[in-house]
Amino acid sequence: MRLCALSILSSLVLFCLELSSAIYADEAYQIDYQHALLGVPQFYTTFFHRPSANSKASLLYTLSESGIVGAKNPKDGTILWRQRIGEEGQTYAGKGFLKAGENSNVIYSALGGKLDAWDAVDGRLAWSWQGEETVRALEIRGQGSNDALIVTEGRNEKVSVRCFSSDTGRLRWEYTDASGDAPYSLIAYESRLFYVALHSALLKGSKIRIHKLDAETGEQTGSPFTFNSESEVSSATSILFAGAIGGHPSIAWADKTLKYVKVASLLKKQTSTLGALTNGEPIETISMHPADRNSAKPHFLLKLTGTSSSHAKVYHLDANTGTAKKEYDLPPISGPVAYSTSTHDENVYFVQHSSSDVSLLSSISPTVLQGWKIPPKAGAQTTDLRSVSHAVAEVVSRGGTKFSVRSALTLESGDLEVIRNGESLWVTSEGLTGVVAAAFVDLTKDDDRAQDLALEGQSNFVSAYIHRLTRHMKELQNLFVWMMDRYDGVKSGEASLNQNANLLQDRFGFNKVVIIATRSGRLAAVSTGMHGKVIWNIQAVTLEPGINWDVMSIDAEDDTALIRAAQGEFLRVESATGKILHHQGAGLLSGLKTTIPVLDAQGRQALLPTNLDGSLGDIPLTSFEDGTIVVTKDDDGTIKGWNVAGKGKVTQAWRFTPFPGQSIYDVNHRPTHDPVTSIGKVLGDRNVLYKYLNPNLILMTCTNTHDSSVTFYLLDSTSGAILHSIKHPDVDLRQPISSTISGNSFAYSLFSRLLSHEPLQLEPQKLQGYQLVVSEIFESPFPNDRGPLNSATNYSSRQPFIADDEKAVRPPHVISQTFFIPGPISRMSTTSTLQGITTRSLLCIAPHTNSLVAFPGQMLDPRRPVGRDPTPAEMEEGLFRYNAVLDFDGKWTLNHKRETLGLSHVIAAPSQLESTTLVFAYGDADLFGTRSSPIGGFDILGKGFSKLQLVGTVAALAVGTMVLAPLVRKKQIDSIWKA
Amino acid sequence: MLCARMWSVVHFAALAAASTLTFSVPPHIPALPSSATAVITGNGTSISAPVTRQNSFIFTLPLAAPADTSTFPSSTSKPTEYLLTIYCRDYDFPPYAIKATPASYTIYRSTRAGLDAGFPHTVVDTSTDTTVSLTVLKVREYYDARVGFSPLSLLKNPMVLIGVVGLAFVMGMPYLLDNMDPETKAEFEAQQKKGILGNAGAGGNPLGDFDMAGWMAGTSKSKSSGNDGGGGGARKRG
Repeated sequence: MRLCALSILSSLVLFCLELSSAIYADEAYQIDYQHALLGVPQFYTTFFHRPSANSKASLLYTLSESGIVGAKNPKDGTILWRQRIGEEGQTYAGKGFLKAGENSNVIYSALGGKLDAWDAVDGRLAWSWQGEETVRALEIRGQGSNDALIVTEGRNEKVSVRCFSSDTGRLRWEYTDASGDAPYSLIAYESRLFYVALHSALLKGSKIRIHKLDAETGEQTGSPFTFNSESEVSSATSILFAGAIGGHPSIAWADKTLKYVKVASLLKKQTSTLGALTNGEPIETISMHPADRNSAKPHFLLKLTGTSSSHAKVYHLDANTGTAKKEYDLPPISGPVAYSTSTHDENVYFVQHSSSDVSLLSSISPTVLQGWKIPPKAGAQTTDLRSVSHAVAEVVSRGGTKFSVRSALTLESGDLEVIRNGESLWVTSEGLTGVVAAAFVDLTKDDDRAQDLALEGQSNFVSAYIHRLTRHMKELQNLFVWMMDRYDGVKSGEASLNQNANLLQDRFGFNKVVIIATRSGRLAAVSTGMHGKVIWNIQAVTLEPGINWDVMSIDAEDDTALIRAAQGEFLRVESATGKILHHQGAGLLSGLKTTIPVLDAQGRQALLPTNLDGSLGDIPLTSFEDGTIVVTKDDDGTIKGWNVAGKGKVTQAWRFTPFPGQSIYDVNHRPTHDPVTSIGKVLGDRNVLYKYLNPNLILMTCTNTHDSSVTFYLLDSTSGAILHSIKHPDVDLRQPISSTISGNSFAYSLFSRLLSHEPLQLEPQKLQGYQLVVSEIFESPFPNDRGPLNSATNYSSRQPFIADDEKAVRPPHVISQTFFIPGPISRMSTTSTLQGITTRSLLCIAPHTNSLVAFPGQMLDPRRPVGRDPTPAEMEEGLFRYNAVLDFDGKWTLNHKRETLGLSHVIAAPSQLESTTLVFAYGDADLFGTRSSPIGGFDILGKGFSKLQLVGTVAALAVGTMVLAPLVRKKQIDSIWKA
Repeated sequence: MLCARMWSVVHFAALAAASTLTFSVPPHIPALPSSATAVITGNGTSISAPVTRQNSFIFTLPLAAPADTSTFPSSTSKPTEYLLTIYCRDYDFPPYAIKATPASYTIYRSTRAGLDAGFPHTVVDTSTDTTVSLTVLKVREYYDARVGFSPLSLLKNPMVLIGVVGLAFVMGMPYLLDNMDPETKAEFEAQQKKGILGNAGAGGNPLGDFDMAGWMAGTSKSKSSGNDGGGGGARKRG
């Protein structure tokens, strides 16, 4: 009997484990959504390329401003592979190189001091080279060898040109130039190689100096020659182009006033001046679009952008003389326009993209070969979602005068769009990379019904009756649609979850909006109900290049969202439309560091100003409830608590200064929505352990670089008292340290070395690894004991410690358990449900596995029995034996097989269903959202619920009853007769 | 200038000494996804290597020394210990640990915390290029299979089985008894009587000859005539 009970209990436990948030194969990709992004594509590092010599279709390759190399399928925009070569959180605009040789299956990328060769098909590494210098140019040696050539600039202005074999990455040769010239470019031509450098002229400006090298051996052939460009070229930005125009090595540069452009042929050492560029209005920028293949004719296009319009001129370079002359002019076009070049055999085509049409031109005549109108975009509210910033195109001749053009357009918003013959194939929101803040915003309720009823209740009898009649008539009209809706829901097997795909709150509360802010100053809204669709996307603030938008927080207030940035900047937008209602710029008040939103006595949000010196500024004309404490972190590393109760008075309540050597790494507080259903934990023997539930808990992480230790402090924010502290020695401070606090539990993760003293071993064992420490706080170590609170008649938040009868102060009791996990956790959070009944899962971003892991609460109970099997009472509680090793189980991975990149934050919000939490993760690259049910969807019928089976069972029962009823009746009659 | 030359000499010396340590995935495993990475952590460093076209992970030796020892002091114990973890979307790999001395590297299967798990060690000479073969534990599972409805699974349920067998007995027993040939039947009856008497004598039936069913039905006579009465009646019917 006991055995049986045990087995039932253990199966119960197993059942509980089964319940934990696993993803069913049919739910994957249905409830979750992802914007898999590469970042804003850069003009010089984006191209179409056939991944191998025998492949028919080409892929779209790019090295983005986020430092990510990737390949996209141009048909549907899916990412085939991507690799991060830059640092997370950095912008690499104008940096890095990406090149692919003709008919080569290797893509070369170079950034910083690293050169990587990637397999063009699957993105695996072919070989890699890492130097201490910086790569200044990347070129591919032609003539079928596809070797990689780089120019690096090291310390002491030492410049090296290196050649690596394409298959193994072996260094073939190295050429060193110690002349002190600034390296600019490398141009391969047949068996020769031109190394282009900028040589400072005596007085001002730079001369362009060319070193000729033998591509096979790297030896210099002949002495370097120079172009006297010092009157035009003051820096590298004056050079428009250095490379091969249709296989003809050339350099083009513009003069400072953009009056003329000079084109120099390296083979003929001939310079041509292209003048008369202006079209009446002054030119602001010039860009050059040359024929990019060696087999093509040496033709090129100059795009000349003025203040209001831009025009273009097409030039031909004479390969025999090395001189360039104008072929034709293109008419000016107002508004943004982008040109791209495509070659087919020796023909050169230019594709002109404006926001309304695409035109295909040949390099030999100004007549438009073929043109397509672009239909206006439905979702593009702002012009930057329509206007093209730069483009790459692929022209395919369909015989005769028929052409097909496929272009990848980078829009001014940073988004990437591929169009074929004017028809949009797909758009990805690459502009939404680098998200720094995000928040869930509730949608407006569909409260028409409530309004109607209120109206009927208030108006007189007759009008109310008429109103009601018309309402019923209207509802009758919608009945059919409603019934069709229901039918679809029944047919699809799902309880009509995503049926109302409009911007209204749904019954389950799954339909919310996530407002995100990027470091580039963009704001966007992502709908959780519409599979992560971007509802609106605006450039909220315009920033100087290289400046990041420092967003502090996003808060929802009714139908608006309040975005707070540094130096008192704040924005209020309509959450449904993205309309900016109010914008207060940064730095309006001097000495203002930021503002803190605090709820005042009326429950409204007031912004408290924080000064640069760390003090709180004057309080606006609002009063706060008694006991309102604002906690600030100073630049000098102290934490201060301010008492803002009353009106206009701010007094410092407490101050926390870490020990000398320690600095504050992170501060966490309990989430705003953090309901706790039970004040105690019922044990298997029906005793109760009382939870320590303090709404004012702060978990502080302090690091010490001198002894590489980390100390976690649990602080009471009202009194400033330290309730608990734990110190971890020997911590690797360069690895991520993350922590979270929710309810009466907190968790943190770090990498450290520690000594383990096993009972039967003399020598302590040296362990090291990533650890996840989970702790729960109780009022007392003993069941049914509320500690000193038990006898207390009243309690003050200002004095969290109460001395008991023996005048001894008893801090809360903390139980902890440590697990070894396979990799770092860069950020953690907990799931959040409406009532807090559902056991919380720990949401962790695991950057090495590119995943978002939800550890089930049962796994992380710090009361799991150590070194022994659980007793039946413990089993009843769902506790099972402790195991120090905890894996990132694939079934706990919320993003399952879909890999995420660059996630750094995770937020959770409750839905209307107690079982389900909405989860959204964001960061440097991807956006990912899903619904998580930590202990299973117990209050919703999932896809596993078969309506057919239910109906079938009822029908079978009915048939069975009908068949059996006469039999039973006959038997009863028989038995009466026999008795 | 002299200083620069010195530096470059040192640099080339370091280049010459660099050898590679390659961890190869067994040949029966298909191409790993391009996101697969091997990371060597410990001693204040974290070096990662993406998967190569040869389905392997290549590290350059010596493993980089910590640039700034203040953030994580180097282990005072010799040799230095590192953890090697392979992160892959499709397969699970066991954790490895590396014990490094200037002359050699010892690689062994470990527990997560870097303890020797007792599997064969590989000792690598730092001056030559070496390839170490990795082990794959299992295919990484992401999904729970939904248990669909199938009549067979219903039959596998022990409760249903007990019910079905019980029902078969209840329904089938009278027919079985009816279809017995008269001799066997008589023998069976005798056996049953003897058995019941024997059982009663041995105290096997705690109720003795009390007519439990009759009592519960409320039809028991004042003088309980025992089991054979009811039973006999039933048999007479056949």
